[in-house]
Amino acid sequence: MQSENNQEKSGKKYWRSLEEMAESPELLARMKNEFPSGAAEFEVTPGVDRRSFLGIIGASAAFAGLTSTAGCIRKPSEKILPYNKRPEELVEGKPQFYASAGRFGGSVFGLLVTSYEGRPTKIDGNPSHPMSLGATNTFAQAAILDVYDPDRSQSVLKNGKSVEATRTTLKSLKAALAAASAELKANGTSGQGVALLMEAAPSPTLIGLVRDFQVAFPKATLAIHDPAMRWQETAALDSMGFKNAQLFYRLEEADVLAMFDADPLGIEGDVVRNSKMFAAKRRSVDESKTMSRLYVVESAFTNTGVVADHRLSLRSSAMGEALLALASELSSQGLALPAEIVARSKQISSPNEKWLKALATDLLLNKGKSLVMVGQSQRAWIHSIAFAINSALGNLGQSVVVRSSNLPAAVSLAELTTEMNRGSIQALVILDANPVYTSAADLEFSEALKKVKTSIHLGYHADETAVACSMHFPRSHSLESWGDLVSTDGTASIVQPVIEPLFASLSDVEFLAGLLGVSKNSYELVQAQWKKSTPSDFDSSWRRWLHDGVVKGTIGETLTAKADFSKLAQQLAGLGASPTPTASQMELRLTLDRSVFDGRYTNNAWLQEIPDSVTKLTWDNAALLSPKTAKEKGIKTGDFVEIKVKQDKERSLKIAAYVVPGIAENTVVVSLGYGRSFNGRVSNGTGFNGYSLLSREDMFSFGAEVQRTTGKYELATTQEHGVSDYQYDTMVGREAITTRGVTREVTLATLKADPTLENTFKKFNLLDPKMHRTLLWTKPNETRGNQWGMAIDLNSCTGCNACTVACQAENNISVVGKKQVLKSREMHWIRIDRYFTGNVDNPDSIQATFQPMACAHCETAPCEQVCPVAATVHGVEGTNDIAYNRCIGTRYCANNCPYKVRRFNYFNFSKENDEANPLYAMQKNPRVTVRFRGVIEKCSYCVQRINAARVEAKIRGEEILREGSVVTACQQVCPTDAITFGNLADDVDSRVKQLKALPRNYAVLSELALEPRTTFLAKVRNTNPELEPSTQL
Amino acid sequence: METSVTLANLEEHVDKRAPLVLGRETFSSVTDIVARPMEMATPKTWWICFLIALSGLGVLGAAIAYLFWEGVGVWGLNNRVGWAWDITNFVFWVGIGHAGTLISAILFLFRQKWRTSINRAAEAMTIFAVICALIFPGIHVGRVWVAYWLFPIPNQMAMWPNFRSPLLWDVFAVSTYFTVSTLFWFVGLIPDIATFRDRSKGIRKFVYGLFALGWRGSHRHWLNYERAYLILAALSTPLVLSVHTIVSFDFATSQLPGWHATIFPPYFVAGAIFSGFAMVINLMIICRWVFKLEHLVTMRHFENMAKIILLTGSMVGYAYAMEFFIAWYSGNPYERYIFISRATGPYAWAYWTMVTCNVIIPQLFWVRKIRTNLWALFIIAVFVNIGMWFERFVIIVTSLHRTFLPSSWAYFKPTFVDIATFIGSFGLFFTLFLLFIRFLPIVAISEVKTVMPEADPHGHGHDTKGGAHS
Repeated sequence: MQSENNQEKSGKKYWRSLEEMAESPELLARMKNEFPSGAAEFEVTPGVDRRSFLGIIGASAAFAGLTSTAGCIRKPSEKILPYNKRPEELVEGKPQFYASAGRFGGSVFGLLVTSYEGRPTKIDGNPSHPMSLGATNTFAQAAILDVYDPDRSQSVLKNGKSVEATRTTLKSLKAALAAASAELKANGTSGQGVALLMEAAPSPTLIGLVRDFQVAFPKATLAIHDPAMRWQETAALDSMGFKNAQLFYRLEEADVLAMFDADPLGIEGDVVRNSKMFAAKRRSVDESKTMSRLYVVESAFTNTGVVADHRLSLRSSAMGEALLALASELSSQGLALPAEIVARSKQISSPNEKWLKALATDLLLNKGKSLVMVGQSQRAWIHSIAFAINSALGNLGQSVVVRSSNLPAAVSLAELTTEMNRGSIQALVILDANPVYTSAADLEFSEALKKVKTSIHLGYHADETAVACSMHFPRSHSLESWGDLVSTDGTASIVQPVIEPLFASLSDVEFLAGLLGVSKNSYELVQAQWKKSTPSDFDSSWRRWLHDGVVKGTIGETLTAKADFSKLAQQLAGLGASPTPTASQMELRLTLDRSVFDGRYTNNAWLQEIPDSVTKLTWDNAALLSPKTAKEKGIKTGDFVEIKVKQDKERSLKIAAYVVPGIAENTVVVSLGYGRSFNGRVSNGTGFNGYSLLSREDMFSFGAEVQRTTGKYELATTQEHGVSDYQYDTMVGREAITTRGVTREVTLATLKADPTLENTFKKFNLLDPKMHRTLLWTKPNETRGNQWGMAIDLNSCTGCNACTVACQAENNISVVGKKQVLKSREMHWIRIDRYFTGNVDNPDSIQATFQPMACAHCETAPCEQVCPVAATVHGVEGTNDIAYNRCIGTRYCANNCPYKVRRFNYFNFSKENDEANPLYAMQKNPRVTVRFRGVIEKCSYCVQRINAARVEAKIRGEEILREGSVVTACQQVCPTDAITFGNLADDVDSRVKQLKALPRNYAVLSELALEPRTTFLAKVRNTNPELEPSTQL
Repeated sequence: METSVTLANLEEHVDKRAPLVLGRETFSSVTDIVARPMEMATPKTWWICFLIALSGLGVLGAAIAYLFWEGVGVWGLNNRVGWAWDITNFVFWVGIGHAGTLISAILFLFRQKWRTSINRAAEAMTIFAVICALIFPGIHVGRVWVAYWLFPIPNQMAMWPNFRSPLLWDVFAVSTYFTVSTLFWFVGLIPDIATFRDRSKGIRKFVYGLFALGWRGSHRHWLNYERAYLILAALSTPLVLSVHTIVSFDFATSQLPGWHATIFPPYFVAGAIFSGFAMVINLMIICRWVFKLEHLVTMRHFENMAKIILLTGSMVGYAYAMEFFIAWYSGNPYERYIFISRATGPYAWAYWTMVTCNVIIPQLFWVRKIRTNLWALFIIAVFVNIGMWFERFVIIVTSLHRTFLPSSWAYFKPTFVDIATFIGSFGLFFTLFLLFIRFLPIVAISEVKTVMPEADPHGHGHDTKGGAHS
């Protein structure tokens, strides 16, 4: 029902149309304001130091033009304030970097935050942190925008309503917190009837305070609700005798990997570290002609599934059986597995016997160097079997390690809800979780919450839970307050703030301490925690930790006890075969979303506009169906379907369908996190709420009815615009790979047989290499000065999108909104092209491949030749430059660009962004021009970074910029180091030069004689000769 | 009776050339016939037509104003299809603007005397069509307020345009064509304007007098006039070929499959003549009927034009076929794909509309009955214009929407602003044309008189051998 309005809302509310903006009272009010409008956005609280105040003022100049808002105002009047006394170490215009840490999508990352005059603008990975190793994922990249989210909670709410006429001040916030503390304590000191619900935040200070809370309220219930919480894995480990433990994976140790519904390179666990380690194992192909082999069994394409060498499409509910069948194969091939498993596995016959047999053989050949991984949504017993297989294969301690977790023992949300329903909870404290939205439908949490007298919530947004609780407190962003975090391998980091809270708000630790009656700020609380474990010379250690971003030594220990499988027998005994779904009784698979995770990022415009890795959908989720299933049910992309599931009662969801290859048959896949009722200017009207179908048991369920209903919905994708027939599209994808040579892949066997790849690639040479070619324009001299070039390794790329967001953050790229994406006007400078190959009707034959594509900086660039005003010209260092001020916007260059990477500002997108989200302007990188309406823009090889490095080199008296002195934003963030940028004219062999000399190196569309500076390294699939490759390439 | 008169000059006789002016018209009656629409009281129908055209012009103004205010995004363009209706309309109008100069210059040099009764209107059509065409490259740019950077104007930035860009060549080609066409038209008008100076009174007389440049019809005037006319005709002739050649360079010199083709210059010129003559037929049929010009604009004129349409239509059809052949023969997969996609892809409907209108329908002109039937002529000419608009649409949009990388394929849908701008450009065209028929002679009086028997000193059947009076 909500969905029909979605289209209009999501387009209009946030996007464009001066008409609408003109009607908005907010804007009218701002227009009347004689001062730069940004300045009026902030009430400068007493806590704000001059530095951030000036930052705010400086940023507000960017939207000062609003005061006389019109289409074509080019030079708005601006008011700026100079520093009266300049802070030490500060050089205006020069960024400062601070080490910090953050937890995004289930992994803790060490961060390096870029800050200009007290204004953080970009987040990058801390190279010395083991979980980021210099890179991050999309969520971490986009987190900087969350700081400036105009919809973040700014006031204390009581029963969902603001208690004050004005925005909450720090003083009133503290008073309200004291009142809440008193209310909590009114329940008595025993803690009977008190519950604390938190996310699985591995913060020592917070956990210390939770323990204090448990001391103050001894009988209090502690519950954890977190999409990244590994309940099943922990339960499995628990049943095998490892108390409070979790697994830590070391993909660098694995030569053969088997994934069962697991996505370690996508959104599960420490994705950046996993990706780095996995990619290293793939890149070895160039030196040693060896690489790891990845087998994936999954119900829908994940990033891991796309890069797999062999992929089996299987519904999620059958993963256990598949794993048992594998165990059976392994034991029949001589692997000693626990008797409990062998006994049960003998009863299993799998239709994919051949596939599993080949996998089993491969695993046995690589004992101690393999890894079997099970997805976090799979049941505990399946994890136990995987653990048993890993132990038997000798992978334990190698590719997989059991580590103790620092999280306190807690109950799940389901158990807490049961207690709440029983009426035994009178006071509930919710720490930064949003259970009203993110809980299973059959829990009916919001009903249970009504039975709780006092509910106190701390959250970043005034979200669904905030308005349902009796009290809500605004939470600070993790870049605004002190904290600490421990990653899965035990590395601790101090979370260092880089800006004062923009609005009066509390951090997790301040809030919890405040509830306990401790009036300390987060700095004092974190220091107090760390002083406990660092008795001597705390101050210098502290300074070192802040500087490095990593605390020396690890927290927690590696557990090496012998696993006990006795309990597994009972679990396996009661197990029946999972039912096979049919067209009328389908399997429903709910997943975390690659763009908005569990829904917490729905109000982040960058993440909303990021095209999903596989579907390329933006701004919405959809019910994903395989082409075959869709055809049988008469469903086409964009049709509304109704999904009905039977839980305690029948629940249904009306949702738009999207047909995409690679989904298991008779399975419908819906990602969670969209369709929120939270009133955010970005999130409004986006997608459909998958939680309304979620059961407390599993992320997948059997017996779902999927029926086409009336109506159509427009889904905005960045590929296949206007192409709805996948048969056709897949054909075209195959053509791109097989005949056009746009994206090239070879098997390892081919590479070994033809090491120079000359014969293999010969078919792609449309031009006879012996033919004399005369170039119309002279090629630039490649040996003089610095000559920039890039190599992108398709063998490493996992299509994670981090480069796209990093580029957006670095280069001030506008978000355009769903309506404009529907018109193919997205602005991303680097995009990830995804091509499918295989037979659409056979999901097992479908393969996909990723290809990041940005301006290739052609030496004989077709864009430069056609620009009538010479706005796009060749730089002396081989870059293809645009003078935005010279561009008149004929778009001829974009038409003539064979890679279609040039983006046109059809409207004044950057201004509209700032109008729609007034705080966004503060994120802008001051070193990059904000583009105006009517000009073309595209990848500049981060020319601002090149220029900054040149200045540094000049100071040192050097002309040539050496390896590593310029790192582009996409290169920096890439979790697989797929992107390498460097100086081709460096007399020392730079890495990019080495890569370009590899036989795998090729230029896309080389026959056009464009001599692009960005070249690609062909993908290599390490196929198992025993398994026929699904597509002959 | 009428039919017999009109058909009378369709046949050439061995002993005598067919007359170009029918009826028993004299010099003075020719002047009267042409002067009638200018000297009659403004008819109601003219006002109605003019108001409709003016509304169209208003629509154009509003659409452009909205475009300037909001940005190019009000059109349906996207990052893959950077040009669509804007440049389609530009090429369409430039193409129409070809027939006029072709008729007046090339046919003049080739002594095709039948041109005299249609050249004036055709030239006017040319100029108005070029005005319509010039609007589009001007407004399609993202930042119109700096569109003047396209011109090589000395400036403080010491910045010249990029002379390698075909868009810049366009600027020169089209502006030169416009200037020369306008001059040519004006020079041809001088004797006729003088006629009207002498026939009118008051302010009208003054204005006509101003533009008549003191024409008295003296022998020396005629001598200079004819020399000037001949020179301008010689100057315009290469322009007829060069304008559309250079317009085609916009596409031919780029490297997109579907654009990058050496066949484009002749193919574009043929197409332009094709569409230009179709437009002339449309306009002349109406003018002839409204202003009773049957004796001056005869069926023979229409038949000749129909033959040209048949010829150029077949040339265009040959070019379409040759594009496919070359795509196949080149062995270039991109080239092959784009042509298969044109004929079978999402825009197949546009491609087949084009083929039907441009290649199949004009073949009906092989039949003389159809060539000499005004209704058939009119309808087929309309089809030709539709077809030629689609030809440009097909070349521009289908090539852009399926380029090298399959990831960047998109579909273009026009918005109402696209449509309004196109309709509005017709408003502009007809506003100008209606003003033209009210205030200027639509037939070149002085030239028509030269092809009448009376102009021949050896006329009246006295001496068919062409000898002097004896």
